[in-house]
Amino acid sequence: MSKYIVKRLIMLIPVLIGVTFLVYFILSMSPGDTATMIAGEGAEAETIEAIRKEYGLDQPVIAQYGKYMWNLLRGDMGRSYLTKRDVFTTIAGAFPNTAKLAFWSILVAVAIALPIGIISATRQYSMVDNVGMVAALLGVATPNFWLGLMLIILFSLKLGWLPSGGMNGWQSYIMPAITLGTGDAALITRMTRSSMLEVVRQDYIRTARAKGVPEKAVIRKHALKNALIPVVTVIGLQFGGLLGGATLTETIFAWPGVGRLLVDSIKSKDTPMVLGGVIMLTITFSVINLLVDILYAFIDPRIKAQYR
Amino acid sequence: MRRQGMKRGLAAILAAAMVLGGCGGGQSAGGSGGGQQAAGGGSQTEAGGTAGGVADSVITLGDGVDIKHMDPQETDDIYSMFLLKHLYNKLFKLGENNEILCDLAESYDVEDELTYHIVLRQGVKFHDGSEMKASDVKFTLERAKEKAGTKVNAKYIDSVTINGDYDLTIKTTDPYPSLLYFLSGESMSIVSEAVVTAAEANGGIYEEQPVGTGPFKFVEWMPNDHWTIERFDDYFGDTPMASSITCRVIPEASARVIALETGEIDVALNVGAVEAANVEANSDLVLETGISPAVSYLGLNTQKGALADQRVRQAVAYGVNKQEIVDTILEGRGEVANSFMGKTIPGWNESLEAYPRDVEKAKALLAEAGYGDGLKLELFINGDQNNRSAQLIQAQLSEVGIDVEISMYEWGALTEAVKAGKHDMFIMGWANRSGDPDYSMSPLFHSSSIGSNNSSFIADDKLDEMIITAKTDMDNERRMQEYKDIQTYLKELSPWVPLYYSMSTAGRRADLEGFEFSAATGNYAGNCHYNK
Amino acid sequence: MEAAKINGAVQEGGAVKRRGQAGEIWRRLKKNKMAMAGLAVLVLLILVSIFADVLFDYNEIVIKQDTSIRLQGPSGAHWLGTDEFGRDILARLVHGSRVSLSVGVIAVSISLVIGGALGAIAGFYGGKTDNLIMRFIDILLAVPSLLLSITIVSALGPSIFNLMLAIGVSSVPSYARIVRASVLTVKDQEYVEAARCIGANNFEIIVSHIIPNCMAPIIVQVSLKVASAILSTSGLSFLGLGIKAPTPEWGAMLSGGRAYLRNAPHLTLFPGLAIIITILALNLLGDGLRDALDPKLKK
Repeated sequence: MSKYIVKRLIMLIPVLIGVTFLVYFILSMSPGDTATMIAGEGAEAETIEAIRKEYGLDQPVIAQYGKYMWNLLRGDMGRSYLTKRDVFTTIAGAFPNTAKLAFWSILVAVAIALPIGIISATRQYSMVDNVGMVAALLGVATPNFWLGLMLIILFSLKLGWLPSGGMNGWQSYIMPAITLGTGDAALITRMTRSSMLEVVRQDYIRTARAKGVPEKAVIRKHALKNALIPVVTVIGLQFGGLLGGATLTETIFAWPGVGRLLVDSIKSKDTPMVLGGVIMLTITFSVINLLVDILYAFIDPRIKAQYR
Repeated sequence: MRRQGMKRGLAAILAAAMVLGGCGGGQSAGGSGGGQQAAGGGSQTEAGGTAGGVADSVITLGDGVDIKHMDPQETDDIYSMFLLKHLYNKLFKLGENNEILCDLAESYDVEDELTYHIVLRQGVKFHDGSEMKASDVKFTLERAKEKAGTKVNAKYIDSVTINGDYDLTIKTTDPYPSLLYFLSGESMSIVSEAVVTAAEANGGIYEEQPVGTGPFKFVEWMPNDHWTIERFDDYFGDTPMASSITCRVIPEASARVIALETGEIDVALNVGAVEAANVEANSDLVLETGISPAVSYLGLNTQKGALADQRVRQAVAYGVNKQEIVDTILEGRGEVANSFMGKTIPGWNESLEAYPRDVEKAKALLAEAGYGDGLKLELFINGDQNNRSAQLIQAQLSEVGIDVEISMYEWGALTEAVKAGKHDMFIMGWANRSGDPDYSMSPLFHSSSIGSNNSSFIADDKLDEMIITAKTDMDNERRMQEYKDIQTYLKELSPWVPLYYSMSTAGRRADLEGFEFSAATGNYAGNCHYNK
Repeated sequence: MEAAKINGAVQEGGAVKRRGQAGEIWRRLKKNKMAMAGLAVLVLLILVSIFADVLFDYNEIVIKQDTSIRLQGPSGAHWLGTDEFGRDILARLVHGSRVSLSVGVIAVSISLVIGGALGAIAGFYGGKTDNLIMRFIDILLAVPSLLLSITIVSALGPSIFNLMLAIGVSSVPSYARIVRASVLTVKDQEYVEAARCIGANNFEIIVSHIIPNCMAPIIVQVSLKVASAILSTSGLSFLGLGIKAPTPEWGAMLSGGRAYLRNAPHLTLFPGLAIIITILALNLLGDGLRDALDPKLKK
C-alpha cells in the first residue's frame, strides 16, 4: 500500500509538468495581449512596450516557459504580473480560506445527503423519498448567486443574525457553506440512493435478512458499506471542486478565496498567478483522488488487491 | 517647437502662477489646503479640537474591486489611487474645479516655458520619521521616468536640479502645459528615496511596506479581503478625524449596499445606478453623487467599409437615442454626453450639442451615401452594462435600417480585436482623471495613436495639427479655446457617438460626518467620524 | 448473474428480443407515476420549444423593446412581467427553451461520450492504461474550466456549438472518474468472468456487460449535469462567451437579471424556475428509467 502511495506521488511530477505546459500555452494562445492587459485600460503604446520588455514577454513562449520552470525548480513561483506580489504568498494566503469553507460546505452537503439518500433508498417511492429527492434537486438547480443573495437579504438585512459577507468569525461561514453545500448535496443524495438501491437487492443482503439480522444492522453493516464506493467518488470530486474555489459564491459573500483570485488572474492574463493557482489545484486534486482511491481499498478489499 | 508664442504664453502662465501661488501662501498657515481644509477644520472644532477627542473613530468602507498596487509609480487604477490619496502627498493637487493647488510644494513659479522653480514645504515627515527633502522629490521624478506607466508623461521632464533641501528646479524637454496636472496625479506621489532604495536593493520590490508623507500610514493588506491604514500622528497638515480606516472588498454591489444598511460598513463606494435607489430608499443612509470625469461612447471604425463615409457615421449618430440609454442603462442617473470629453475636464465644450435622434435624417444620410437598402454592421462589446447599451442601440438602429450584430468578447479579446481594427463599431469608456484635456485628445484621436487607443482609426491631418497645437500651447486661455474647437470639429468628423456621462456614486450612513465625496478628483475618507 | 442472462439473451436473440426488452422497460416505467409526470413535463417542454414561433412571434414580441414598460412585474398583458428592456419574459422563456435545452443535452452528451469512454477503458484495463488515462484526467481537471472555455471559444470562434463543446469538455473528468469507479466495482463480478469464459472480447464485454451494469450512477450524473450545463451558460455569458444578444437563452436571462435581483426579482426568478422544472422532470424520469432498466427489479 505504501509503495502504491509513493508511486502515485511520484506520478504527480509528470502531471505537474503536463499541466503547467498545457496552461502556459493555452494562456499564450488565448486572446488578448498580455502586456496590454498588465498595462491596464487606456495605456499608451509606449507603456505597453516597456512592460513587454520588463516581463520578458518579447521572448518566444517556449523560452518564457523554460525560464518559468527553471525558477519553479528552485522554488520560486515568481511574482504576479498585475500586483507584483509574490505568487506563493498570495496563494498560500487565499487557499486556507477556501479550504476552510470547502470543509464546512462538504460537511453540510454530506449531512444533508447521506440521511436523505439512505432513507429514500430504504423506503423507495414513499412520500419521504419523493419529497427528499425534490428537495435535493432544488439545491442543484438553484443558482448559487440567487440563493446566496436571498440568504443575505433574509439573515443579514431582515433578521440581522449573520454578517452579510467577509471572513470574520464562525458566523460568517454559515451562509456560504449552506449556499455551496446545498448545491453539492443533490448529487450526493441521489448517488447514495441509487447506489443503496443497487446494493439492497444483492444476494448477500437477502442472505443477511434471511439470517434474521435486524434491518438497521443490515443497512449499516452490509448495505451502506458496499454502496459507498460511488458515493465516496462523488464526495471526493465535489470536495476537489470546492477546493478549486467557488467564484460566484465567493463574490456574493466577499470571501477572499482562490476562486476569485484565479478568475481575476485568468481574465487579466496574469500568467504566473494562474500557473501558481493551477499548480495548487493539481496538487490538491491529486491528493484528494489518491485519498479517495485509498478509501476504496478500505471499503472494498477486492480493490485493495489491485494496489501494488 | 512653437517658440513664437512664448512671450504671450509665459505672461499668461505667470499670471496663473500668481493666483495659484496664493493657494501656496494660504496653506503655509498649516491647513491641508483646498476644500478639505474647511470641512476638516470645521468638524474638528466641533468634535473637541484635539486628536485625542476623536481617537476611537474607526471607519470601515466597502468597495467593489481590490487595489493592485501601493507603489505610486506603478499605479494606474482608481481603487489603488483612492488608497494612495490617504498614504501619500504629491507636489500639487487638484481642486474641485480642476485648479492646481499646492500640496508638498509651498510655492512655485514658471521661469520660462521650460523651467519650473519649486519651493517645498518644510518639516514634512515620512511615516518612518525621516524628513521629506528635495532629494526625495528628485528621486521620485526620476523614478517616474523609468517606470512603464509614468514614463509616457515623465519623459517630458528633462532634468531636476536641487538648489537646497527645500528648493528645486524642473526643466522640461518641450513646452509642456500639462506638467502641473501630471504632477498632481496620484501616480506622482512623493516616495522616500531611502526607503525605496533599501527595499529595491536586492531585487526586491518596494510596495509591500509603503512609506509616504500622507495623513495615514499603512497597516496591512489582505488581497481580496481588505486593507487597513491608521492615523499618522506627525502629519504636517490637519490631524485627520478618523483614527483608523479599513476598506473591505465586497464585489457584489447589492451585497455592498446591504452591508451598509446593516451598519457593517460606514461607506459603500461605487454603488452603481441600480443599487443607488436602495440607498435613497433607506432613511438611515445618504447617497452622494456627482458626474464622473468619464465619457462612454460608441466608437466607429472610420477606415472600414461603410463607416469610412462621414455621412454614414453621422447617420449612426442621428439614429442612436442617447436619452433612452441614459434612462435605461443608468436608470436616469447620468447625462447624455454632448461632447468627446468628460464634462468635468477643463476645455470641455459646453455649447456643443449632441446629434438629436432623427430617424428621417439618418435614413436620408444613408440613402445619400448609397446605403438606402440597409446596412449590416458588427458591434464589439465587453461586459454586462455595455451589453445592455448594445442591445438598445441594436433596436434603435434597426429603425434606421441598420442591422447591428452584437459580438460580445472577453476583455482581452476585445482590446486585441479593436486594436487590430476588426470591428465596425465598439462601446467603451474613457476616464480622464488627470484634469488635463490633452489626455482626452492625443491618445484617442491623434493618428499616431492608431494601434493603441485610437480605435476609431481616425487619421485627419487638420485634426492632428489642432491636437498638437493645443498640447504644447502655454497660454492657458487660448489653449482651452483650442480644445473647444477640436471638439466642434470632432462632431463633424463623428469618429464616435458620445453616449453618456455617468454618475459616480457612494452611499454612507446618514449620521457619518466628514466623508469628502468628489467625483472629479477622488474621494477622501480621512475625516470621517460620528458625533457621539 | 441475472443481468448476464438477460444481456446474453439480447445478444443471441437479436432484434425481436430487443424490441421485447424495450417494451418491458416501457411497461415498468409506466407504473412509476413520478417518472411519467416527469416525462409529461419534458414532452411539454419539447413541444413548447418546437412551436415557440406559433406561440410568440420572434421579431414582434421576443426581441421587441419598449423601455416605457421596463422591469414590470407579472400582469395580465405580460404574464411573467417584463425585463430591463421591456421585453416579455414569458415569450423569451419559451423561445429560450430551444437554445437552453439543446445546450444542456448536447454539452452533457459530449462529456458523457468522451469521459465515459476514457473512464471505462481506464477502469477495465487497470494498470498502466489506467494510470496513464487518469493522470491525463488529473491534468484536465486542474486546468480551470473558465480558461478552457475561453480558449475553446476563442480558438474555434464564438458559436452555439463551440459553447456547448466548451461546457462539455470541462466536465469530462468527472464522468471519467465516476464511470471508472463503477467499472471497478463491476468488472470482477461473476457475469463478466462468465462472458470471458465463453470467449467474448474486451470490447464486447465493455459494451454489453460493463456499461449496462453501471448505468445507475451515470443516469444520476447525467440528469443532474444538464442543470449545471444550463447554469454554466449563465456564467459564460457574463464573461462574454455566451449566446449573441438578443437571442434569448435561460442562462443569459438569469445572469442578466443579477444586477436587478433586489429590485426586480422576477427577472431571475422565472428563468430559475424554468431550469428547476426542467431538471426536476429530467431527474424524475431518470430515476424511473434507472429502476426500469434494473433487471433485478423485474417481478
